[in-house]
Amino acid sequence: MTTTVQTTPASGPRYSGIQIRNGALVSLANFFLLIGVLLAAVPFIYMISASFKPQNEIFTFPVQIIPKEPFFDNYTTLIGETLYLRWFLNTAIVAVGRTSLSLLLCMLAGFAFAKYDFPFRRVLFVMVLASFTLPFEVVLIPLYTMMVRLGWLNTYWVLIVPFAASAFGIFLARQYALALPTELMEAARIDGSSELGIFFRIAIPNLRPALAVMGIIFFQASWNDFLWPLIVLNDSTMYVINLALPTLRGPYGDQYGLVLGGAVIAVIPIIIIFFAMQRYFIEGIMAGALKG
Amino acid sequence: MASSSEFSPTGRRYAPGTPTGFRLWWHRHRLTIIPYFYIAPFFILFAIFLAWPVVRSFYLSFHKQQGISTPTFIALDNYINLVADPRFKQSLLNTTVYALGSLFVQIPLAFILAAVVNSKLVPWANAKSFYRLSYFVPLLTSAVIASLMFSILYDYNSGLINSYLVRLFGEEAKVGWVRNASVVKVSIILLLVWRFTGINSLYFVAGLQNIPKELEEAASIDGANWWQVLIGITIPLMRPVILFVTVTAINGSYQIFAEPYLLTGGGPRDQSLSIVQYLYNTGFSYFNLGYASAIGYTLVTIIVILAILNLRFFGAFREDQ
Amino acid sequence: MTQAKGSLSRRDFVRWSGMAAGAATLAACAPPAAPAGGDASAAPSEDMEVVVEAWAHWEQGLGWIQNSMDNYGFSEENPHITWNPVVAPFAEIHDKMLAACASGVGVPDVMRVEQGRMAAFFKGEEICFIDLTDRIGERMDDLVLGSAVDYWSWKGSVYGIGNEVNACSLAYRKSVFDEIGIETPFETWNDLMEAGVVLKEAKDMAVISWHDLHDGDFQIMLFAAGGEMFDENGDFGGINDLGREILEFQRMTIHDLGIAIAAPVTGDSTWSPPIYWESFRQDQIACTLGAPWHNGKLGREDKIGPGQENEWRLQRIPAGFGDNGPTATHGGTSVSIPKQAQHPEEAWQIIEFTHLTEAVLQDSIERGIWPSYIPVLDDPVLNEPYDYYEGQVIGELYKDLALQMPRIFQSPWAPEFHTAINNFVITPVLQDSADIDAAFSELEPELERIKSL
Repeated sequence: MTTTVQTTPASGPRYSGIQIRNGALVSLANFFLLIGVLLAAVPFIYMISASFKPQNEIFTFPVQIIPKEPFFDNYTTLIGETLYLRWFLNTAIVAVGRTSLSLLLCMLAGFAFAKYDFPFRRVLFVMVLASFTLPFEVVLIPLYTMMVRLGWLNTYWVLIVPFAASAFGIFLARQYALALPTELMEAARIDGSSELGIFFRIAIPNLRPALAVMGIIFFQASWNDFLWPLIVLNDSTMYVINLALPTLRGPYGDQYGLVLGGAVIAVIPIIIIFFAMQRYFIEGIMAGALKG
Repeated sequence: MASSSEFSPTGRRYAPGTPTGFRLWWHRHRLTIIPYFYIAPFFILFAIFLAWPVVRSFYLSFHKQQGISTPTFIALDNYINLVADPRFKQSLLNTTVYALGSLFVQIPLAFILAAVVNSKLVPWANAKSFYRLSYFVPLLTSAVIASLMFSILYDYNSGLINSYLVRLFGEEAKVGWVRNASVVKVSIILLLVWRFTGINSLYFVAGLQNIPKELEEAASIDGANWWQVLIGITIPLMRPVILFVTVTAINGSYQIFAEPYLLTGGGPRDQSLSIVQYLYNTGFSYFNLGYASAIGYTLVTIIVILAILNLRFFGAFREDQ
Repeated sequence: MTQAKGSLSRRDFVRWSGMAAGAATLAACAPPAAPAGGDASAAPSEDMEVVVEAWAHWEQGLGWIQNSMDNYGFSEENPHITWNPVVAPFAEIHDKMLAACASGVGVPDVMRVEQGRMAAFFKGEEICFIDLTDRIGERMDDLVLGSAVDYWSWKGSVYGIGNEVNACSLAYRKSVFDEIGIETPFETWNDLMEAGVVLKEAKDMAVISWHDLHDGDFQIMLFAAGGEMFDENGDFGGINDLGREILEFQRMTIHDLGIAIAAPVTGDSTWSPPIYWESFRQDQIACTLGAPWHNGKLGREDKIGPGQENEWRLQRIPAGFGDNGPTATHGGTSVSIPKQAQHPEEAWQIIEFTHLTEAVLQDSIERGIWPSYIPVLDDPVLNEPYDYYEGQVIGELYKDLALQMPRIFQSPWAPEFHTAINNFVITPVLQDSADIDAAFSELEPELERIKSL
């Protein structure tokens, strides 16, 4: 698992005959790919630029990417006069908690569906998949009622637990676990390993790339969750960033400066985590997963 | 049952020897029992948190419940009304267009990107990972912020897109991205493409990397052109990944809510209203909870049927590799 | 190098979040903190500590009530009552209200309900809120009823009070009309139309913009003309000659004369998003119709802002349709008390104090609004000359308008009806110049269908 993915340098000698045509094609392809990168980046550039402008400059046209004078009030107000740091901490706690719990539960279930044969396996798996099609809005009110009865409003639990066993996660984990060699498990059993031992000592280490992929997907989903936190949090000291930001838009929803500043800061951790994990992530996506 | 023989009344353990009773039974059956413990958390959490809401809203879908009054049983009336509801039909149409958009725009685009980035057209390893990451980054912002940014970009007078169109083609070229009923679905699809192409592309890259190079190379030596290789080798081998991406995309498309809701509120003239937004409005703005539940269950039925069709189409559920 | 740094900070991050998670676990397990435990000694011993929880969609909407309690003596007299504001974004706070009402659990003591979202609460047999009619009693005469209670009333009972007078007026950019020799203010809509023709010719500027994704302009003009958006049964009251005339006027100014434009708005914010005001800064539109929160103080940063000082004025809504009223109400947010509130009496005490005494002025001081409580309308705070309007005393105008405010009805189907009216009438007519009668005849069965659900 420690070997790094080495992408083989392309255009070997076999292709030398058509190298000139190839060179033109390479330039063309990369030109279009770079345009694509630019398109993907434009909204971010816009967001960063706008967060350094006062309200009445954000919407001036023609558009100015570079602010006339950099304006830092959005950021200083955010840190100084709002609970932004607290919201940030809440968001981090919830995202870390939910991601860890989800990883454990989804890996266990996905591993079971992939590597064990037991009665009703297919039926149960179809049930998991079916729950995946349930629109969250359908269950919102009864679920909210239940959270109130449990006394879970304004706690971290309410954000971490109910959706921790994600059907999508189980589906994905099963896809990854299918690729796990059964012989390894058999060998461990002969060596007297317990089943839980097999899970932690064989499945988990071999599925590390899968953990990275699912970890990032869960983390970003939790970090960007919106409707559920809105319904179950009343106490502004418990808010998560995504919920808190729109409250900074003012009574008519038109004060954008603070929101954009907050959004810029909020996206930084995800990008950092993503870049820090990217090697595992790419490895994970490629780790022979996604087999039927 | 058998567990009583495991311990003596005094609590002293029977001496280990030939496994008897529970231990024997356990040893024989553990491989079929342990997985139930592994999958139990999902079903327990589901039973605790979702079963009741699911049953409750199913029950409500056969009742008239408006506001906080007690539900009255109306049998299938909600479903009958739904069949004749022009707004529901419109939202079904819109949502289907979003799904088609992801099938025929987003997924092919993601596939092409993956194929190009994975091919020799991008000869540098660093560039490969740079592209993959850049295309993935749009998913890292929340829908709230993404929609906010797009509403600024799409703006009729001051938006970036229209200001370039005007600069290039003059005043007449302005497009009412989110104001014009016949354009708005395109605008939503573009936003969805922006947001989700990258992740799908990554899945395809993963699939492509798993195809043994020798197969494709052998085929090209045999004189197959790239198109024949694609149709004859790459796509068949990619079937599981294509299935995965397709099912996820269709499922996601039919549950789309945040992006159109935040960007256009479903308008103009309901032309971007998604099914889930109609459900949400019915429940939360119109306070018509019974009818909203009926919409929810109709949607679940649609998604399940589509998923089954997909699985059939791609011949999935083959457990063997 | 970067690798080592990265992993170090990653480890720190994990440790830090681990600690935080531990702390959070403790916090989450701890019982809810007792309110204001430390200051208990200040309260009279026989009074129980009461925390009145209030929900709204913006900070200041609850903040002014707290400040009003502090500054006008309520907190001193009732030290045992404290105010606990809960703020969430617009759509979601109302969703929370519905969820709380529907489930009957987790209900706060006060909800600030925006008028458009109130309608849903009038569906069904039972209404979530306490009937305030008798509690207000005689003091009904002190309120500008059209703004203060009508949106939150159903079948003759009042379920909420709005503290703002949302008296609509026309803001016009006097300087540009002066330049081209047009006399202002405008007596009638016809005068405005004629001025528009000249303005278009001279400065290529639209005299007004009409909202084509929002029925607000139509609604304001209909109310002012003595019409009804909804009748006492909650049915749409615009399918008649009055509605037709108003729509035709708006359509004609856009499509036949080209002197008006469709309001520059975004899809998600169809009334007055920032780009709406940007087009005024860009000299594209010369008039705007709306309530004080819309055009009362155009000099504010979040409206037109600096750059057009002394150029704007406010006037009554021009006459010309129906009964020629000078104003109409538009928008507003109530304070309402849910039936399942824990402390309804204390909640009412606060509402009574902050809405039915001069303490209501706190919101005017903070936000420059005009209160719906008539006895304070002569207060100097409300009658200062406004520089941006070259010293016009807008308080005088608003008082005049407030006293002539038309009454209106709410409808339980208001949100669905507004959507249908926009989809079937406003947008097709104003965007594509569709035939008004045809649009109305398509609208009618849709309204019936909505009612039947």
